[in-house]
Amino acid sequence: MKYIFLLALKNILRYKRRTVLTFLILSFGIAFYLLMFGIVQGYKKQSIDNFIQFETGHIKIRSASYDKDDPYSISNYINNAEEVKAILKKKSFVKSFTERIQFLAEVDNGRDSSPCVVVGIDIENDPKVFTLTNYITEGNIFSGGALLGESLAKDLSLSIGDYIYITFRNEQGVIDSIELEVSGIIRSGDPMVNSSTVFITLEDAKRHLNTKKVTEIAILTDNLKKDKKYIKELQKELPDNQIKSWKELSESIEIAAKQDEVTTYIFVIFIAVIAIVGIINTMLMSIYEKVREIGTMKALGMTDGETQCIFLVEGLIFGVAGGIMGILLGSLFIWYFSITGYDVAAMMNKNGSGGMNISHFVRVIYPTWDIPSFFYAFIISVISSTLAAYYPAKKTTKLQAAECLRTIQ
Amino acid sequence: MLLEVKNLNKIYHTGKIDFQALHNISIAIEKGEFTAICGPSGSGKTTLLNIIGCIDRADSGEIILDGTNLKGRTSRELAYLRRKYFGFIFQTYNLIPVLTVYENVELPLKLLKKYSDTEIRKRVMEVLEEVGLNGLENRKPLELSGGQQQRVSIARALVKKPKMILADEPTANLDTTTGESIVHLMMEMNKREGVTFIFSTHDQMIMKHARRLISIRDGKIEGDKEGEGL
Repeated sequence: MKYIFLLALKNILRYKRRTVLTFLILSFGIAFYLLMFGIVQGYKKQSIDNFIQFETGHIKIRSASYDKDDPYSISNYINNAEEVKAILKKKSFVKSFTERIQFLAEVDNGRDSSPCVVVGIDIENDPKVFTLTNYITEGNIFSGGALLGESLAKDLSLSIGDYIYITFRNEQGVIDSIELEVSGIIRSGDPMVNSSTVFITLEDAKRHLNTKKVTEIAILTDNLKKDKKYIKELQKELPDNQIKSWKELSESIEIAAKQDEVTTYIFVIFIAVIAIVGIINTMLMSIYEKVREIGTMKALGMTDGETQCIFLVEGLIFGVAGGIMGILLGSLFIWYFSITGYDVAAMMNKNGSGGMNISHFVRVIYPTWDIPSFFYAFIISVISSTLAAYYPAKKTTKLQAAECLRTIQ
Repeated sequence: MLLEVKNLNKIYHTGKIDFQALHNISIAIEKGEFTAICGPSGSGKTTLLNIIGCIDRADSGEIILDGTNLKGRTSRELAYLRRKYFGFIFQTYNLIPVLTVYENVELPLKLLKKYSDTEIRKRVMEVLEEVGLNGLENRKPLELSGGQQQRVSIARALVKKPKMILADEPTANLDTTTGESIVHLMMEMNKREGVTFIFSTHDQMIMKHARRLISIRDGKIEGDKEGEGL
């Protein structure tokens, strides 16, 4: 086997330019696969983190009649908020909780208007569950003021101290309009928060909506992963409320990430096909150039299986070396983008859709290091290049020694 | 009797034209012979050597090697026979260009899979010295002259001490002096190692060294006589 490996290695090194080209195709294919996979996983992780930190907390309690297709309906008000809060206070796993009111509105600067979601937040308790207030870049939130997402403020040419008008329907269905001062600007990692959300104090929201109720209570627990157990416990005591974990609420992100994974796999297949065709081509050319040598080796007593093995080992060497190089290159790409980030928004602006479902929840993606994907990449590289070598290698078994030796080269 | 060839026929099918390369060839080769197969180009010398060496198959006829009839052998079995019984020397040397002189010569021993690396090294160096190539073992074939390459080819054929060496026009690509030296080397090996040599040639200078001369023309044996080299 040693001499077969030696022959294979020497054959590979014989045509350096061709070998390097094939090797690069394979390596870059593997590297791009790793980067794509890292980006998709990074997107998923960041999206979920954003979702938890800005929207859901670990667990969210709503009214039983909450309809996810009509998330801002008046019927979404929780009627038993006091009872819920009393139970939550008794639970040891509940680290903190906060109430919120969300409703649809139109924000107006006097010239232009834009639809938005108004979120009433409990200034005291919200930071104990959400990280929203960490992202305030200018000003603050206080009674009579409004905190605007950076993009929304920019679109409406608003800055601190300007006045806005918010038009909405109150709990009784009456259209109302209020004037608020822009008290702060927020720039978060969540594009939804940045582009279409206005935050006001919970007290202001209740007063303007003419209600004492809230639409949701978000909880931070002591363990993110024990969500099922905690929900079961809470549901026993609150049978009339809808209680969901961050996992259930982020289903759409999972679906989007799955679609992006499919895109990644299609990309991988595409790269694999290119690499396979490259290897087949390289090896077929190599075989045609070495017909006399194959004849000589067979004359010396090498069996068809052994000559086939030389070319299979060539494919294997391509796969192993290409896989290792691809992993190194991929690591370099991931390392680079994990520092600079992959600006999806900029890509979208350049290319329209950008080709992926990303961007709803993440603006700049930082790819993650997914170790199993490195292992899979290596396996894909080895298997695909060995399989690619199979057809050319099989061809050598059909070559008769005498015919090979007659070949003029 | 080392080799017996009986009523060998070989037809090449090229498109619609059939070409009979060998007609009822029958010869017998004793152990230790130094036999030349001579004849003009296209007479069937190479075909005969290829069939004797199990590189090609006859359409009909029998080959009995060391008492064993080779009829119906699979290509794998024939490969093992080539590995065990034959050494080959080609007109164009047919050395593996990516391997060094040493690696080219050790290849048949590696294929036999019965020697240790130390034994292989000892034998290869011994043969390289016999053919006058000591000190050149790390060179690549293309760094050698034609005569030196053919010596490597002879060393490769000799290294496993085969029962028979088949040489197809071994001097055709060499100048007269180098060709003479190669034939002398083959004769020396035949005497010293007792290896049976069958070589094809159409060079009169080379033929005179053969102890047996088989003439072939249009695929038929024209004559079989003792040579001057006897």
